[in-house]
Amino acid sequence: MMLIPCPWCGERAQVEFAYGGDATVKRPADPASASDREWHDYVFVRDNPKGPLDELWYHAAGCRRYFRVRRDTVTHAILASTPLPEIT
Amino acid sequence: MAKPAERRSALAEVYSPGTYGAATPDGPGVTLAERRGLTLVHLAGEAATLNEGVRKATGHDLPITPNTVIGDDRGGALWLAPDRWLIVSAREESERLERRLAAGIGSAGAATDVSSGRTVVRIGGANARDLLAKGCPLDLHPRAFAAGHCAQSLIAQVNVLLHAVDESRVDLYVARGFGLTMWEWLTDAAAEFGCRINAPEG
Repeated sequence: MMLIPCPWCGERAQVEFAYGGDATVKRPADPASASDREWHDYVFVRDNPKGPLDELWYHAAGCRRYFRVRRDTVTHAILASTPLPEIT
Repeated sequence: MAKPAERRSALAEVYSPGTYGAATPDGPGVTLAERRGLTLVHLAGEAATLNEGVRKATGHDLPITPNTVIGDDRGGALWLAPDRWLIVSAREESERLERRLAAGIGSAGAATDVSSGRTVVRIGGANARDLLAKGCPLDLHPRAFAAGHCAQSLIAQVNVLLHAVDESRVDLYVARGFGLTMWEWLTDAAAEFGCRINAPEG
C-alpha cells in the first residue's frame, strides 16, 4: 500500500486512486495524417523505465481529479505531485 | 403543480431503534441515527464567481480550503473538490434552496438538488471513529480529521463522504443505492462496541 499525495486532499491511501499511466505520452500532432504505426505506438506502446517516471493518477474515491505524480518505479518513493495545467 | 411525492428513506424497511451487540459497562460505544429530510444541493463552478450568490442564498460562504466545512450540520457547505461543493440544510426545503441558489449564482455555475440521492447516517459515541476505522483508509484521529473537516473516501469499498461534526460525531453520506449495504455494514461492525440505534432525526 502506497500513500499518494493528492495536490488537494493530501496523503491518501492508494485504494482511493486509479492509475492513469505514463503522463508523458504525446498524441500524434496531426491525427489525420498519422500512420497506423504512430497510432499503435501512441495507444499501446509504453516504456517500462527503472527509476523516476511521470505518471497520471486519478483520485477516484476522493476529489475526482487527475494529477501528475513523479514516482520511482524501484522504490515507490514519490518525488513530486502537481495538478495538471488548466486546459483553456 | 402536483405536490411532489413524500420522500421515503432507503432504510425504512430495516430501521429498528434499540440497543444491539456487546453489553459494555459504559453503555453502547456507538450510536447511529439516520438524518432524514435533509436538503442537499450539489454546486459546481468557481468559488470567486459563486461566493456572493451563495452567501445571498444561504448566509454563509463557500469553503476554499480542501476538505473543510463552512457552517455546521444544520446548514453549511462541504468542500468536495476544486470548484465542487455540497450545500446542506436541515432548515430549508430542497426545491426552495435549489431555486434560490440557482437564482443567486445565475449562469456562473450549476446548482443541482441531490437530496433524494443520498442516505445520511449520524454516527456518535465514544467508539464512532473506531467503527469507521474498521473499513475506511482515512486517518480518523481527531488530530487529522478535526471538527469542521470533511473527506470523501471509501468504507468497505463503497464511496462515502464524511463530515466531522465534532470530536465524537461524524455524519456519513452515501449514495442512496448503497444506503442499505452501508447500514448493514455499520450495524454489523458496531456490534463489538455495543450499538444503540436512535430514532431517525428530521
